[in-house]
Amino acid sequence: MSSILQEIEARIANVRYEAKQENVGIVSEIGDGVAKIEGLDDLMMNEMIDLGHGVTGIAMNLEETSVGAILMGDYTKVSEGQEAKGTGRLLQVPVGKGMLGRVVNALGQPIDGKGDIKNDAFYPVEKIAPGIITRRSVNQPVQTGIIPIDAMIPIGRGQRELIIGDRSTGKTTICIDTILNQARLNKTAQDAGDTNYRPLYCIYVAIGQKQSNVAQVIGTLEEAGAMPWTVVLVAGASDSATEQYLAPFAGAAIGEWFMDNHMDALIVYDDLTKHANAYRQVSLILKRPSGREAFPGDVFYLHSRLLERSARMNEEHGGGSLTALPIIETQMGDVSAYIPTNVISITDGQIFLETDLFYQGIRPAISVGISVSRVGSSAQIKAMKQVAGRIKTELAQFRELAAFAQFGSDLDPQTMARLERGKRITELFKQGQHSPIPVEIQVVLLWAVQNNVMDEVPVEHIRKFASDFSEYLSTQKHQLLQKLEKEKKLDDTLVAEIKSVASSFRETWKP
Amino acid sequence: MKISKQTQRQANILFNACKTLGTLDTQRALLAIDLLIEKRPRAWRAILEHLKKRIRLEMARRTVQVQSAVLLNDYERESISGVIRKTAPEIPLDFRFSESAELLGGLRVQIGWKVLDASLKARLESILE
Repeated sequence: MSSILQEIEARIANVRYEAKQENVGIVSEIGDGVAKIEGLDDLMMNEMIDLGHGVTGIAMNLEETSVGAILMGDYTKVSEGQEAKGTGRLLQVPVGKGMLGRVVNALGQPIDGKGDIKNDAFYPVEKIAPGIITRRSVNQPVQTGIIPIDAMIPIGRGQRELIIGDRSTGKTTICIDTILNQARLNKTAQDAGDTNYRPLYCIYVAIGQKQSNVAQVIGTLEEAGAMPWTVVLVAGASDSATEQYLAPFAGAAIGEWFMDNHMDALIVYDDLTKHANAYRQVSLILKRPSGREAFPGDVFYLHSRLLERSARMNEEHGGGSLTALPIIETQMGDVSAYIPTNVISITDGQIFLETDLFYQGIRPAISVGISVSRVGSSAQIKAMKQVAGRIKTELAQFRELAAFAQFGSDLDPQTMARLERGKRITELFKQGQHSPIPVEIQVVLLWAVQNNVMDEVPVEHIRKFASDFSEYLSTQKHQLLQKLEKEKKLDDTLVAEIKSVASSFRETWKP
Repeated sequence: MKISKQTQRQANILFNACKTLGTLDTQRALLAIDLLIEKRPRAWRAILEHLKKRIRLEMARRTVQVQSAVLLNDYERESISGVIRKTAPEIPLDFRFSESAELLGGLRVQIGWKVLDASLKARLESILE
C-alpha cells in the first residue's frame, strides 16, 4: 500500500507545469466593427485575437504602434481599455465531408439548427494557391445541363468561369441549375454503383444576399435533393462586412479540402460585387488608402488570390479539382466598370447575360457574342464537339443576318435558310429554370436541329418538339442514350440510329 | 486629433533621438519636449501627441507587473525581480507588485505586452480547456 502511495507522490513530484505565455494588448479605439489595439507584439497577419465576450478579431493592419483588427461577433460588448489576447492561430474553418448538406456561416459554424458538424479537419481561410508544378490543364467537363453553355461555352473541372450580368437576368439560376445537374449526375452514378464517376461536390457561397433569396435557394436545393452533395455558406446582407469579406475565402477553404483529397468540387461565389463592397467598407474603416471608386489598392489581388485557388491538380497530386463560378452584377450592362473588368481578366472566360434578351423571352439570356470559355472546349465530350462545333458561328451569323434582314424583304434562299436555322437554334436554347438536360439528350437535340430534322417544325413549336423528343428519348430510347453516354462520340452507326429515331419521331409528332 | 503620416515620422525621429544605447533616456525626452514647446514648429501639437504615445508605449514595454495571490515579502520580491532582470540586464525595468486573490495561487508576470501566467487560476482554466 505504502509503495503505491510513494509511487503516486513520485509521479506528482515529477509533474512540471510550464507557465502559460500570452501576447496581450489594450483596445485603444473601437467602432464600426473595427478595433485598434496597442501592444500585441509579434502578432501575425490574419492572426485571431481574443477580445472576450465571444468576440474574435482578425489582425488586418500591423502598424508601428498598434494593430488594426476587424471584429466578428457582438463588438458592442468590447470597450476601450479592455485587454485583448493574441491566440497564435490563423483564422481557420472546419472542412470535410461532414459539411455536406449543411448551411454554415463564414466561420463554418452551423446555422441550420441541425446540430454540430463532424468535420475531418480545419483549413486556414487564407491559403496560397497551388503552384504550377502541381497543376494540369482542364480535361474533364462540368456538365451544367444548360444547352447553350454545354454546347457553346463549355466549362471544365478546375476552370474559373465568370457569370456576369445586370440584376434579375438569371445569374444565380444558372449556378443553381448547375448544382442541381451535379446532384442528378452524382445520384445516378451512386444508384448505378458507378465507381469510375467522380462526383462533383458543390459549395454555394452567398455574400451580402437577402436572407429571403438565400432561403429560396436552399429550398430549391432541398426540393431537388441536391443538399447531400452541397454546402451552403451564408454571409447575408444582415451580417457584418467582416463576415461578408471572409465568406468566399472560407468557402474556398472548404472546396480545397475536396481538391486536396483527390475529389472534385464546384464553388459558386454569389456575388463578388458585394464582396468587393464589403472589402471596401472594411478597408475604409481601417483607414487604408483608397483608390479608384474608393476601393483599396489591393482589390484586384483580393479576387485574384481567391480565384487562383481554383485549380485542376495533376495525377501525381491526386487529380482533384476546384471549379469556380464567380458572379458579378453589372449596372446597366456596363462590363467596363472597375470590378467587372478585374474579374473578367482573372477568370478563364465569362457568360454574359443580357437584360434585353431576358425580356425577349430568351432564357437563359446568354449573349453569345461576348460570352467565351477560354479553356473549357478541351474538356467537352467528343460527341458534343461533333454536334456543337459550328453552332456558335451559325448563331453569330444569324444575329448579324437578322439585323440586316429587318431592312429588306427580298432574301436569297440560302440567307432565308440560315435565318430559319438560327431561329430554331435560338428556340432550342430556351430552357426553363431548374430543369437541366442530360448531355446525351443535348447531343441528340443539337444533331437533330443541325441535320434538318426540325426544319419542318414551326418555330413557335420548337420548344414543345424538343421537350417531347427529350421525353421520348428518355422513356423509349434509353439504350441509345446509354450507348451515347458510354461511347461519348458519334460514329456512323450511332449517327444512323439517331437519324432513324429522330425521323420516326418527327413523322409521328404533332404539336 | 488626426495625426498625419509626415507628423508621425517627425515624432518618430524625435523619439529615436531620445534613446541612448537603444533605451529611452527620460531626461533627453523631457528636454526634447521642452524644446518642442519652445520652438513650436509646424504641427507641433500633433508631434507632441504622437511623441507622448511613443513614450507611453515604451514605458509600458519596460514595466513589469507581478501579480500574486498573497502579499510577497521583500526577499521574494527581490528574488523575482533579480531573476527577471537577469534575462535582459541592459534594459531598465520598472517593477510593480500587486495582490490579486482571483489568481488563487502562484504568480502572473506581465513584462511589456508579454504575459507569463503561472497562477493556479490559469492552470485550472487550461485543464478545463
